[in-house]
Amino acid sequence: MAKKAKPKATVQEKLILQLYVSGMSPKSMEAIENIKRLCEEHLADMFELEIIDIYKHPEQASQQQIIFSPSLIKKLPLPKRILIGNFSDTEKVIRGLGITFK
Amino acid sequence: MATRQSTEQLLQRIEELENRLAESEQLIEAIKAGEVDAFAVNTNDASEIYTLQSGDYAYRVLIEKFGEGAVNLTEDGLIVYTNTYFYELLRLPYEKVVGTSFKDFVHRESLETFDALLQRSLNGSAKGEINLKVGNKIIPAYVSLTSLQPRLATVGMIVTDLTDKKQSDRYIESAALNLKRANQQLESKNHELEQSNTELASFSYVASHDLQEPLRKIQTFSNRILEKEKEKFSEKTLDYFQRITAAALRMQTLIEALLNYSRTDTADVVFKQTDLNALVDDVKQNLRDVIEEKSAVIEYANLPTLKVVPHQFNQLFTNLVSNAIKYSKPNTKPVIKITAEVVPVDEMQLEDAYAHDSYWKISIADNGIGFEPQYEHRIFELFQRLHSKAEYQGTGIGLAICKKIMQNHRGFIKATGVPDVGATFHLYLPVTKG
Repeated sequence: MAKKAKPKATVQEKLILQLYVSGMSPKSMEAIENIKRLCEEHLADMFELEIIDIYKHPEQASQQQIIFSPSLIKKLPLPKRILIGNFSDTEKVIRGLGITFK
Repeated sequence: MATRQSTEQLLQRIEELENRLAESEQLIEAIKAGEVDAFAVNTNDASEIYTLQSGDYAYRVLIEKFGEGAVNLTEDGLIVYTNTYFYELLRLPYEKVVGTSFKDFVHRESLETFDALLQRSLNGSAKGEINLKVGNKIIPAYVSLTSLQPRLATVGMIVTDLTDKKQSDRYIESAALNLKRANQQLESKNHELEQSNTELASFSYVASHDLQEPLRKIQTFSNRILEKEKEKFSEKTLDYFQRITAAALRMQTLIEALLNYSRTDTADVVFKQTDLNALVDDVKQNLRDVIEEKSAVIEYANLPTLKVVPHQFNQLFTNLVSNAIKYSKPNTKPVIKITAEVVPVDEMQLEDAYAHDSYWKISIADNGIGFEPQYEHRIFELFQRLHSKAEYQGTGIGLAICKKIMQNHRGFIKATGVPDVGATFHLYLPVTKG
């Protein structure tokens, strides 16, 4: 999985993702940058990303038992997955999301 | 046996896991209940402390509620943080702004400027004006960028909406333009006025001067005829001739007064510190004959020393005092009182008063026939007379001259009158410093 090749993922249906961040904390800003890049480079149009700032919308965070910031939730397709961190390791994120490449 | 052992081991393992789960759940409950306010994580043998009720609360709220746009950008211009003000300024939801390149919101013509600012800010800071564009809406903005490196690989940016400022700038500009135009109009009107004033002055000067010549001829020849042919005249012709000479004399007086009036602002004006007590002494001396004839009393004392044009003020007081004597009541001894005081401008309630804090108020009050209050402006107009010339002699020019003299001194004159009680003339002169 050479990074230069930027292989397209084999996903059958759109990934519905939620990224929880907290204001301008360094990890939040890194997470946004990393996830944005990852999605655009590997998922083309096959994703919907919603970014939620728990400071601006605490009510959205309360839907979950506990939310760490930053964290990425894959809501669909099932099974639901929660990843925590700033997502600097692209391969780990891809694995965590259960995406396979051709 | 092996299975049994294994089952035991499994049960032990389950118990162990249950314990750990309980532990975790307890932790989560504690955090949820707000019982935890900090925790330490051991990484590479060093503890990092995390506070939950974080100390940056004040900053966070401040930035979030800040009345300016606060944005953090990556080096490529990707928006990784935006406060509420900024996405509301763009009239877009948060989701459409965060994770988007800032350049998507920069007007085409400002892109180059913005790129330069962003590049410059990577080494420190940069400030400038750009236009933002959202849909068809253009927002002029002042942006101030500061690199947050090395702690953060981002650039902090404050965005100030200049829409209102630009609007008020435009408003001020147009107001200034209107003012300038009004000033130009005023200037040209002033110029016209000055010109027509000058023309009028020279006209009345020339006219009065040229009128004197034929008049003098009329007087000269009427006098010669009267001297030489008087005996040949019938009584009636003599009467007519005397009327001609009287009329000619009256016309001469009128012309001289008119000439005096038109000279009032053209003649040399030299302002000098003048003691008004001495000046009134002179006036009294000049009017000695009428004063004695009518047994008039002029009371004055402690008048100030003011910077005035002496011969104009002499004329002014001569006119006012002789008026007071002239319009005295029959069988009443004229008493004229001259007083002076300083009055602050706000107590004067006069529309003519402006630009000076206080005024000298010199009042000349008499006990003469007075006049109806409705005439207090008309009496200063040229050739306006309240009485027939059979009752009181006069040219209708004297008070017009007084008004002009006061104008020359940046002051003004007012009159109040009560019929059969008397008239008072007030002279207002600005108090000058030094």
